[in-house]
Amino acid sequence: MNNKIGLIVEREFAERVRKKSFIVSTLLTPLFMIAMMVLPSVMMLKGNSDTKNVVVIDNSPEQFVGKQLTSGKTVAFNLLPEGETLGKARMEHKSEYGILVIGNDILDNPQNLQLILNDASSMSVEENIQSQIQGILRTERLKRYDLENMDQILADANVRVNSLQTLKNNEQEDDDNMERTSTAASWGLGLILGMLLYFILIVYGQQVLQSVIDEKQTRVLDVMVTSCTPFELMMGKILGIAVVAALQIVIWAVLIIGASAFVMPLVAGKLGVDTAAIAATAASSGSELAGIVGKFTDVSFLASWNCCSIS
Amino acid sequence: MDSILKIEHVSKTYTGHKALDDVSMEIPRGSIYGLLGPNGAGKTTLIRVVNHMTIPDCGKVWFEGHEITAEDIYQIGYMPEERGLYKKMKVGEQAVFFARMRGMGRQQAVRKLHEWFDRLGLIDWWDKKVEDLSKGMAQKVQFITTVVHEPKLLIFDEPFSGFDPINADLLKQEILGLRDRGATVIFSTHNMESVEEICDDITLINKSHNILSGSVEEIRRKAGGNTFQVLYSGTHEDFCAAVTGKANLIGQSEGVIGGYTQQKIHIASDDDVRAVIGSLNDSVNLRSFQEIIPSMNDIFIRAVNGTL
Repeated sequence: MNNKIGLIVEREFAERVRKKSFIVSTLLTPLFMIAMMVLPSVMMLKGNSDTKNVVVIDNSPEQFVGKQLTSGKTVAFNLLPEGETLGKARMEHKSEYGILVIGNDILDNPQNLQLILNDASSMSVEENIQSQIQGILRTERLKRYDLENMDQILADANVRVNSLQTLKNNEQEDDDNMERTSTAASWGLGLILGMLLYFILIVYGQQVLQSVIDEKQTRVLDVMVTSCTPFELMMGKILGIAVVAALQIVIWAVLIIGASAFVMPLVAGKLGVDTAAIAATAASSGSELAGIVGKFTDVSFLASWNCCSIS
Repeated sequence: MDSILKIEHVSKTYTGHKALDDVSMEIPRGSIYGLLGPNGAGKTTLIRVVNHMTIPDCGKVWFEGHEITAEDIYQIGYMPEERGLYKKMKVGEQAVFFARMRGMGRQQAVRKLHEWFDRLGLIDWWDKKVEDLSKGMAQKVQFITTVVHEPKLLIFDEPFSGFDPINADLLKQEILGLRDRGATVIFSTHNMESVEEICDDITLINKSHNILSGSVEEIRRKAGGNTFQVLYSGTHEDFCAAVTGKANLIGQSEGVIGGYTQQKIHIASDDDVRAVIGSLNDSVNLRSFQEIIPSMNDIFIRAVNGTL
């Protein structure tokens, strides 16, 4: 019986591995997956390389907000004089990126802000404007309390608990050396493995199914059923395809790790793109998965792989 | 009768359709057995029941004196009607695979397969893919993979379909060779000539019933009914006078090349045949006297139409 299963495993494996489509799918799939994860971030970053000119109509008292806005690489602000009307600005500044309108009660009503766009929206511009105005309003409100050394008090009170050191309990009373764990890495790994499981079940399960369908249609099944039991036949197929799957996944793992560690920084350098910026953009875009991947493109993160363990 | 296979009162119904209805037959060991019938009669279903691929609703199948079990199928070689080969696999590799699936060792399989391929003129195609072969060649490959492990019972479903006369003859010779080496062969076919040439016994199935069973020779003789074709030269009156009381004329006489006359007659009793020959010899110039045995084709048509 084992001999027959072995024969079928051998046949299924040889048939799949020799096909050109095996080589193509093995090499292309990880490239495709990496591209899918990284390209959106790269494109966003490239798209943001031009400085956006934003015209500002500031109705706040003495234009205190507009005067404190600083231009940078992402956004350049052009504060219009007091009294300028929005209607006129919309006609005259059609070629600029957009018009920022600050309401006169902005200090008490921070939501009184509008950005009228002449072009496609950009998250980085919006974030820049929001964070700058947030900071300006915060400082102004604190001034109202008129306390001395306000900055120092705030700096002192601002405590950040950035990282909780997680350790795995070694269940030893005397030994204080415990292994560090990384929640983020565990979570990320869990997510990736979960996705991989779905992918494997669907793709390779489908292959087993297709194999049986093909044999039924070509009447090979009639011959096979008179040569072995159905159990031997299915077991052989499943094991054969499982071996192919294992081989493909090992190749992908090698390719992806190799690509992350060595190829990505090279490629990124050629594109004139900063990998750290990709990570930052990916993380700030709100996509947690992209954030995890952003971490993956950071080579130093790979060093901390050793620290994580899956309990 | 020493029978290798016995089918007793087997019935099989698929949803809404009765494929086999109380079919019984017995296959003598070492014979070549023909399974005949129109399309849709139930031949393939019967073969599947024999193969243990389908379990009948009722009835029994006996193989080598015991009820057939799953293990027995390894002693049966089965060739399905459509090609049962992997299209994208190489011919030689595939043949070795099937041979090993039937219990042969690798080296033994390769050696025997090379012999078969050589004999059937396929050796140049060992490394080609099956999809590159013509229908007839693929059929030959299929045949080889079915017989290479030398099973006791061989079942072929329409083995001659797709063969030109030369290859059909080759296959017939191979089947006879297998029989001579001790195998029993069952094959279903519409090729009535092959049935006449190599079958010892047949069963004719029509609309899920067994309507005719027995040895080919006997069936043909019974269907023949003592009809003879006479070729003579002489007068019609002398001829009639010679056969009066012993034989009846069938149809009109015909003039044929050489100046002879052809006439069919029917002799009622076997005992009168010699007397008729003698009488005719005295009265006319007898050229030939031949029994007309209906072809299997005629018998098939008459049996299916219910006019046998």
